[in-house]
Amino acid sequence: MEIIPFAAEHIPAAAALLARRHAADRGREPALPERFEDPEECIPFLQDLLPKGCGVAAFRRQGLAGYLITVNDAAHHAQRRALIPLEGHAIAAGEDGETYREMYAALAPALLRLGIFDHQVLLPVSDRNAVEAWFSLTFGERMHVAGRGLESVKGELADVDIRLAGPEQVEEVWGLFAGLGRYNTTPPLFVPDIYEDEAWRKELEEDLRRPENAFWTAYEDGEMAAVMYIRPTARMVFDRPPGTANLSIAFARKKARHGGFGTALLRRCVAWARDNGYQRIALDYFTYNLLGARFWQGHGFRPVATILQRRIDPRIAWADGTNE
Amino acid sequence: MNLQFVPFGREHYEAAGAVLADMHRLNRKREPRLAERYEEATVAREVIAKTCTGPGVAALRNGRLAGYLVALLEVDMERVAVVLPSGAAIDPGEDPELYRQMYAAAAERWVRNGYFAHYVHVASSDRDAIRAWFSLGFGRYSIYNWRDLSRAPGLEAEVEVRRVGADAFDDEEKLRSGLRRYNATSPILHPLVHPSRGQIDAIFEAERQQMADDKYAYFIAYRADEPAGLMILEPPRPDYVLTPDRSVYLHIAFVEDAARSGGVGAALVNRGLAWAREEGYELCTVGYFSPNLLAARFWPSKGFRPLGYCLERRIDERIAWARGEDA
Repeated sequence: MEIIPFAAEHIPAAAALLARRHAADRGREPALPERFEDPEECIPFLQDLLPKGCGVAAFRRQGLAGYLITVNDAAHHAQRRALIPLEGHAIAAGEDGETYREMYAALAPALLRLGIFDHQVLLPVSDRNAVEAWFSLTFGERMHVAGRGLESVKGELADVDIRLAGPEQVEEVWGLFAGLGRYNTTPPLFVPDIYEDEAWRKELEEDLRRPENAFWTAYEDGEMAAVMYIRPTARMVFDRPPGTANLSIAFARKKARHGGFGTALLRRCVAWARDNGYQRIALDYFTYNLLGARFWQGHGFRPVATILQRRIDPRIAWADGTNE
Repeated sequence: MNLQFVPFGREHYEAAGAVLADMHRLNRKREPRLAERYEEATVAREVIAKTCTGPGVAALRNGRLAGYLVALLEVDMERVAVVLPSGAAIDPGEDPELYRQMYAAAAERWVRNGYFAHYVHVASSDRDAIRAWFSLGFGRYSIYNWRDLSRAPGLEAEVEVRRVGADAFDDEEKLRSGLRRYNATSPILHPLVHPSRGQIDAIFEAERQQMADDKYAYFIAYRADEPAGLMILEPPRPDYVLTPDRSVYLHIAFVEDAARSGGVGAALVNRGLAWAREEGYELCTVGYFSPNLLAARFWPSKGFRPLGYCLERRIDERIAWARGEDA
């Protein structure tokens, strides 16, 4: 097998592999969008992806055996990160997890040269061989992308005052977002909270203005105590079936947990999605968020995809054995 | 049901011994090569008393021990928290979610003290535990394997394999150095951080003494009188509950780049296994890094099968200051 940098001329063959993989994913998860079983539909996504990161293409005599392409960004919590999205990987029929391992071995040095030590990959949960291959490369689970239909939400409801927030509530909503950031720092999440960019706040204000978004908030004793933010899915993506609304942010202050606030807000979000013509809701949550994982799974959200992460010891940048 | 997490201490040894013994019994049903003696609660208790000396938590359900999680905090080239196979167990009736809850309760202290690299050893057959740790961000770092001492399959190179003593230290160190450099390559990517000069002298002295000790067997394969491969066998790690009885530990194996794929490794393995047979051992164990592509091909092809995994999670160190207080 020969592994070379991914280039534009590899896109048609890669699109064929991606369409094939997606068809297999869809065989296990029929709600996934059908259109990506067509290689032509995959091509624009690969064209869009290519300038965003690094990639490798693996060849055998028969042709393309697999590929990996990353999206490199420096904006995520101010740390350089490479994420291989769902459209950023596929292997040919007859290949196995070892092909992923070899491609990652070839790709990783390019990421390290860019100072990227946080490596992530988004995989279909149902692709056990791929999950096992990345696990064997020391990738652990970070997030689930999960979805549910719009069937009614069961569970105890709080007698709670629920309101739709607008831009005039930006300070209160921002306070809850900050609370979520702090919650994410607690064990076992340990996610650093680095929201010091004023641009984030402005973005929130704009999101609050958009009529297609809904910030459902719950009040207790006259104070905003919980929020669920639901909006349209930004674009057609591989893990979100058509007609999916995206539940972007959800958080309840400590005093509002376990009291039915979350259930009441989710019920409101489901009703909103139904009223706005959606068929499903999707969200992502940290798998090591014990409360979150329990809440979402308890309300029928089923993982469709999973983000795995490997954090490389950054000392490898200078302690790579060449300076001995 | 009331679930409470309290600091793990001596007062929990007895109940923890019973929980570990029960878990070991289950693991041994799936992997009969594991040592039988740890099914005894009193033996398991002794192991816990020796190995669970670091900070951890006991999970008490209605006052009764439901599980425990204890790490050894080690400071070597970095600060690491290591949970040995005897360092975590849950009552067989408990949901594996308890591992997640115990980790949440225990790891805060590790992180607060600057231990950002966390390692957990688990039986490879314990799928529920592995699944729980995976969902906590742990990936597979290394694999611990066993086989019997029969001749390993595969062609052997025609190389001279010598059992060497301390006088071959320079050859041994040259090969070890090659292994360290190899482990820094992709996708293993372990930094090659050198200790201080004083530490190196101490390490080298200890190595020379070990080479002169009959309990250890150092084999070097020579091609045209040049060292091409190294293998070190030694007595098993004490109190490591995944170690089968009467097994020798194959601590290090390395073949120079230019000599790979030619049967040097097979020649070393068979020489090592023959020595182990002569010494009265019955099994051999070996560990290798899970992302090591060559090792992951070589050892299974020689008949080694997994007994245990070591899993790793590296916490983003910025958690030390980015806790949102000023957000």
